[in-house]
Amino acid sequence: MLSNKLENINSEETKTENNKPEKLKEILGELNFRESNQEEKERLTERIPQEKKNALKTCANIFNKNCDYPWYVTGSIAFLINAKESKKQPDDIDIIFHENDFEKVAEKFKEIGFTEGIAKQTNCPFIKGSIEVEYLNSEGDIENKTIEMEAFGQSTENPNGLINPGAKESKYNIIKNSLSEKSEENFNILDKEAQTELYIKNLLEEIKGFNFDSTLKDIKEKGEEFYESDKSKKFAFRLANLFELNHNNTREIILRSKEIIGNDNEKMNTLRSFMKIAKEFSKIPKEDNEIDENDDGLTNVFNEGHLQESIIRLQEKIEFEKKEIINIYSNIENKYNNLSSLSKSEKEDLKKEITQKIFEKENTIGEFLDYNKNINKEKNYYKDLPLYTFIIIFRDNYIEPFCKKMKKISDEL
Amino acid sequence: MENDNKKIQSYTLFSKEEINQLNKECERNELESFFYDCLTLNGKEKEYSQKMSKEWSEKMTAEDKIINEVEKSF
Repeated sequence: MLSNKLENINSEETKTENNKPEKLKEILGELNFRESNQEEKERLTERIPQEKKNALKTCANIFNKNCDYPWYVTGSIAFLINAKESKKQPDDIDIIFHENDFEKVAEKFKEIGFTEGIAKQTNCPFIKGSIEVEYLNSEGDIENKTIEMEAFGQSTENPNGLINPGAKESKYNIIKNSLSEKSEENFNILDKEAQTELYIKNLLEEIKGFNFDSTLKDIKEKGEEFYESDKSKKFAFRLANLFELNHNNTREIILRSKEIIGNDNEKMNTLRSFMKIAKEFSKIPKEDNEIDENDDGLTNVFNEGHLQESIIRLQEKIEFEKKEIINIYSNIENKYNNLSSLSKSEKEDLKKEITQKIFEKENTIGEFLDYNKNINKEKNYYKDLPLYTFIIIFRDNYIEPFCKKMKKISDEL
Repeated sequence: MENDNKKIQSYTLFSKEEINQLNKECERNELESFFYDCLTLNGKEKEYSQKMSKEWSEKMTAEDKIINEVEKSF
């Protein structure tokens, strides 16, 4: 199915000589392109630093000259163009493009030192590397910087990514952006709706790894290096982005998630768990004696009222605590695994060690059981909900089972 | 010995099912007494330890902790 709009795009694209209409016709889904509006243009100008723009220009030049299909910048750059309010700092450059263009694009990027591979989960071919850029810093001096870029080749015939613009029966709105007057430096992003869909789909995948079970399995398989590539830690940022993109409108996020999830029971259960947390959150009583009138809630506890900064602080804290309790548990578990060879006094020592470790984690346990005291409901601070959700999941999936398991092992000794 | 091995097998990982099981099995008063020991044996005052262990165990054994396995997906 090709819409009139897509045909219009095809004719428009021929003007740039970057997209060949006969190939674009192979796209089965509907893509509606529009130019970025004034607000979006300003966000690109103000929020994306010059060095990132310069790196993006390099990417745009290669993609526009070598792609027969549309390609899209996703990730934080697209988020920052779409989000009305955010203090997020842009991360590296993320791109999706058509896998039919992979060969030509990969060849060009190899020339500047990129490597290629196949993504484990989706089987998408990808290229990965860094781009050296020169830019003028705030003092007007020329500086060099390296910007990381990762691009995934996706199929529209047999959809393989979390989101596949152009795939059969799909419909996406695309925003066209300019970095200069040169058309070869233009780039596309997904609009707010599509970006929201991508965040929800990512979240539903990444949250699966945020529990003691998955972390222990990964540590046993990959060792300490696992923490570097731990995908589950991203989900807190996605949740924060999702909220900012949807102006902290929980109802809107839940309804959109339901649409996206459809009949998938496992994912629907994940959504139900989130709905339960959101319901609890909305019912947290305001305790006058514990909340300062000027308090902005959890976002203020972790930063000066800014969601993005506060989620980074919370994430760092949780990451640290996660490592600590995983280490404690693994050490105790190792000793416990040799239970039959332990003497009576060794069992006593192990029991003592357990009490010591719980004692050492006294502040952590107390804090994670008590964070809801810091929520200020009066100002309708639903922007606290991503932080609250992250805390509750960490409490339920790490802190509490850790304590209960320690108690159980202690009982057995 | 055989008994010990069985225990070891069932204690290796925190699966969703096991978290659910732990929530079902953990008695509030037993957990309170465990926390109390952890705090007092390491030098905390009795009054403080009593208060904290009560608070923690109540929160960790709230009714909604026992969730049907199908529902528990995080």
